Amino acid sequence: MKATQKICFIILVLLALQIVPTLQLEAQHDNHSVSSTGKPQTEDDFYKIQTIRPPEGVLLEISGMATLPDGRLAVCTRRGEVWLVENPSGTRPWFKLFASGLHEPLGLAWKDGALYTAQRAELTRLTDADGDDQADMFEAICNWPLSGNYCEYNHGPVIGRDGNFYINLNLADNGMSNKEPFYGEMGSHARWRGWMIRVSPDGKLEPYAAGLRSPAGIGQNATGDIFYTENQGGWIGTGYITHVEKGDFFGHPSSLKSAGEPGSTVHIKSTDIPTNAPMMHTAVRQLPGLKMPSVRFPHGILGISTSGIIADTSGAFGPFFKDQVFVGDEGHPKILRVFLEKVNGEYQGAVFPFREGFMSGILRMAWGDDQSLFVGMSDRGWSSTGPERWGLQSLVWTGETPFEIRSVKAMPDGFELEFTLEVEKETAENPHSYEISGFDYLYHMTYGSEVQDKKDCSVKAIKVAADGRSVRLVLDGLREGYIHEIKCKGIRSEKGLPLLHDFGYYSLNSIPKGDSLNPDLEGVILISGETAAMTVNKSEPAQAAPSRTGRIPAKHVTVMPASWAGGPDHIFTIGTEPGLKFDIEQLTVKPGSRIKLVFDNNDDMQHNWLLVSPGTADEIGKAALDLGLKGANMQYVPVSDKVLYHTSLLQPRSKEAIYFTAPEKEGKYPYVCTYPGHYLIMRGILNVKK
Amino acid sequence: MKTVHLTLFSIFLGCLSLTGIIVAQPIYQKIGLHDKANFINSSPNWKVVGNIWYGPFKSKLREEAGSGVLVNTLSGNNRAPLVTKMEHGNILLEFDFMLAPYSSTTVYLQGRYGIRLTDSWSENSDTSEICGSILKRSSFSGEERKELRSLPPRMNVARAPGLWQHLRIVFQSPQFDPNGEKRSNARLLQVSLNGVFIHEDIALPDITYTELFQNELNTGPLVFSGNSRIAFRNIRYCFFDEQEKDRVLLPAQVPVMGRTPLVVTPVQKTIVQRCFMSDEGSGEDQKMTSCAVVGESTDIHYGINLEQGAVIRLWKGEFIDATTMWEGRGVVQLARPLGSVITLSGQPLFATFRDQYTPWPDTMQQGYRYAGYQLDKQGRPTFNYYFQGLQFHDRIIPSDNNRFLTRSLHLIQGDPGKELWILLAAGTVIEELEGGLYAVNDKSYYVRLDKKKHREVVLRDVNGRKELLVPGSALKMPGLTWSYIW
Repeated sequence: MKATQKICFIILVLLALQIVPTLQLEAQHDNHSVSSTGKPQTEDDFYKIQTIRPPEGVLLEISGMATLPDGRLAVCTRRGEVWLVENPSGTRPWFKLFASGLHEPLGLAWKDGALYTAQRAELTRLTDADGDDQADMFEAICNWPLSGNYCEYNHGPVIGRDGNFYINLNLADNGMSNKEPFYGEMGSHARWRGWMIRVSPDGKLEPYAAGLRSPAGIGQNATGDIFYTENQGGWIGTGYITHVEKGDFFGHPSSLKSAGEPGSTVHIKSTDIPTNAPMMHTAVRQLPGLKMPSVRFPHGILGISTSGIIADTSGAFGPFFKDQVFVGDEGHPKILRVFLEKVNGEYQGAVFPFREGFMSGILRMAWGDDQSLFVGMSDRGWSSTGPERWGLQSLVWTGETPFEIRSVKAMPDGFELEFTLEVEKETAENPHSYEISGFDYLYHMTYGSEVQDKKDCSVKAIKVAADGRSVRLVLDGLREGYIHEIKCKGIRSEKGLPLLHDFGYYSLNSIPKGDSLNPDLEGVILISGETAAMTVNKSEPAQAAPSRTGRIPAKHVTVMPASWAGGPDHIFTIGTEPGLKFDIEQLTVKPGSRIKLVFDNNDDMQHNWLLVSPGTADEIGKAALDLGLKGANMQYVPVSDKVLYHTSLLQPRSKEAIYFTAPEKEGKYPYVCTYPGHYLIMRGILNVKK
Repeated sequence: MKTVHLTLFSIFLGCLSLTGIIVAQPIYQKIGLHDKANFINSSPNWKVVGNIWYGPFKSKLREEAGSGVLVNTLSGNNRAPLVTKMEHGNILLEFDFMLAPYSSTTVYLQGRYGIRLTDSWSENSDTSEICGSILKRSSFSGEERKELRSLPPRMNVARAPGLWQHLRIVFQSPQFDPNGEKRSNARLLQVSLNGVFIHEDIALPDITYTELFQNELNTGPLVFSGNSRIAFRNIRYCFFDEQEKDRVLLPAQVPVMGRTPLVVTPVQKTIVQRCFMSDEGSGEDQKMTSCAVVGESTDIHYGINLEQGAVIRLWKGEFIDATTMWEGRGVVQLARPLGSVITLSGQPLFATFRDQYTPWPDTMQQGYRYAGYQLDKQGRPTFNYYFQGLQFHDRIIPSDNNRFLTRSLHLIQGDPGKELWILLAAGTVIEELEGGLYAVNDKSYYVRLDKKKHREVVLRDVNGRKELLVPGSALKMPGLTWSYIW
């Protein structure tokens, strides 16, 4: 009994210290590396963000970017302008308007002296025929139908190795209508919506892959293969980046409305879609043709809204990251790093935190001719947690090497972790330095998914490479088709530095064939069963796995208490407004009044409503963010005395009534949504006074 | 700066009202125009007819016997005004009017307060006044009367002579205490011309017309001055008291998200903005998704549906409100033309058929592709289309001192054959006024064809609708040119 309590305590401490990427508004990185001078190392010590300001009055809601062969940066904006930025890395960049009047272009590509963009209704080639740096030819290369829904975004184009244009056609927002109960909140209301299309240089449209929902990013890896990024939502349990090949189907069934059209390359029917909410790894086995995404990003932990894709083919971010792929996020203004490898013929790999602290939601990225990465931002009305609505920044490597997990590679019996610096052998050989677990998400119509079937792996053997740059781990409990969380909190560099980011997520879609690690090799440390159990086979804290409706009953009462004979004293209905806001931000009640609160989540993303003790909204919001993988299952309600009352995590367009008694003590009690990141802005005050 | 925003806001409201967001409908009474029984001692220059044709140029005037249209013929050089038997205090007044070229006349509320109905379209007109100007004096009665001032409308949304225009006036009569002392001035609460607010809440401290009445009172007749050629129809009104104001005022809608509308204004160069536009004819939520609006700094604009090669909107005044495209998530995602808008049929520019009785299709036939546009130095586009093996260039430019738009369609490649037709206009009514000049949809706009080509025009009636077509042969050099005049 005592031993169990001790373990629980250790786990709680570990939880409290757990490093979860923080939002950019927070200046502290207290668990990060410490330099030799004793100052904690931050992302900023290795990758500098610089802001590029447009001329006064220019609204640069960036939606596409391309670097021209002469080093100029072309950016297009939501309002349909295309700007050429001369000397974009210099202190005095010069902006020139190249074109205007496009309808929401969402990408730029340069080819043979022309800029290409996907605007609402077509792929357009912009040419400056008379050499005055202003486009005069606007040629429609390929036209496509639309229903006219605002969400029918066209992301791209990307020009493939084959010279063709690849474009993602976003689904439409079904809004409050519930008009498609099977497909859910997003739908395909015109031909090829929800598809990636391929357009030949002479304008022939080929439907290339289906099952896309909100595919805000399209790009290439270092070898030029086509990848796209997807946003969490209905049928998409969590965001991802994935390799795309002709005929692929990624799961959103609404796109299958076009599967019977001439030219279709996907032949799955809506009726083939499993409706029993299987886990994703089961769904891909059940439904032939459903492709498992290459690398999935746990929602809320590594971003919430994946967007632009760019590969570092030149090692601009350091030779250690050469050929890795970088992915922006439109909700949390940060860039994530992806390591890809091919296992059994398909791409899979790991995602890591890389750099946060940008000024707004990131949509697009482009390399400058001086190794800097231009980052184009616009939250496009979707409320990023960045301080600005749009912006243009650059990210430049300082030349210093951060201590990072360079890569994680799948092995027949575990993983091989590679580091950017030599590791301290003692820490790397200690099984306590690692925490590894596997989990999955559901494939269902419901918006997003909770973490499913999370189980720990135990370390059976460790071998540190002779050069100290990689560690081979043999694990018990590896599960094919599951995402594996890999934390290396205990690892130190040879100079004693902790990792700048000590975790990543590997999507183990396929386990490579081959031999296990030979235990007789020199340097292999075998871990006894007992030690392994001590380090990782822990039980969850008692409160960490609440029932979906039950929680701690007094804090979440959904039926009017029998004792409220006269009914509630107040009935409040709180809804949402675009821009991460409650529609009512002030309520006043007398101490002890009986309140029925209806939280009507009329937004198109998930929210909850928590009433917390005065002055603790930040603390609780941060605690919710720090729940990590457990967050979704706990509905982002941290276990704390400071949480007084709360609703469930509500799906878009759903509502819930809760009943509670106002505090007896007068004061200003904040209410807040604790969905990851929302607490920074989505708040109100319950004013309790006599 | 603030004033500008308020102005834009009002225009925005005006347009909302056009789209039918009106809360409670007032109950109207009519001034019947079967004969002149509703007018006092009318002079013979005023006549009741069934239909009338003027303009837009110095064209011959025609009229058709009947009733429903009141017209000032100036017969016998008689220029007497027309006075209603109806007398009014607070009034909502609406009517249609049609001006002859160079006409300049006035309607007086209570026989005392004037609003100018002038031809501000024709060139070399002897007045620089813009249609809808208010006659105003700024001193109180009792003092020496100051000179009349003409208060111009916020923008010129007047139409060409010979087209029906619509005026809507909400007038509040002056108030007097029991001793006959004036307590408050007469006010024009709202004046909208052709669907656009041109004046709001204008105080009228003194009468502007002194021939019939010398003093202000709380009632008086409507007076139509008799000095110029003009026609009226559909004269209707509604009295209201203080409590009923909301019923007669066009409602002040809160703009999207409570912010200033995002109005796009061409400054020097022409603006081409790709957009969705609402398809008012085809029911709820229908949008045309491949459109462009083209705006000139001279305030003459059009919208084109590129999937049909069809000009769908014509308007003058402000250009577009892009609020619903660019504010927040842009959920509505429509470019909303400002100013006074004329909606065209929107049917495809091209069709092929063997049988001349085949109705014009509603959507473009197979084999069509919109292929982009090229801008000239001024920023004006030439659109490029392919249709069944033919290539066309389509260019629409302001002409005749920005008074109308002229469209030139050129065949760049291919042989048009005998089955190709081009649609110039379609609507409920198309009337030929003279060779090559047609008034469309109850005289809401004109189409004028190049004189050399008008012999090839076919004006046909298919299932009760009128269609104005030319065969492909009309594309012969130097191309086909026609104008939209309004």
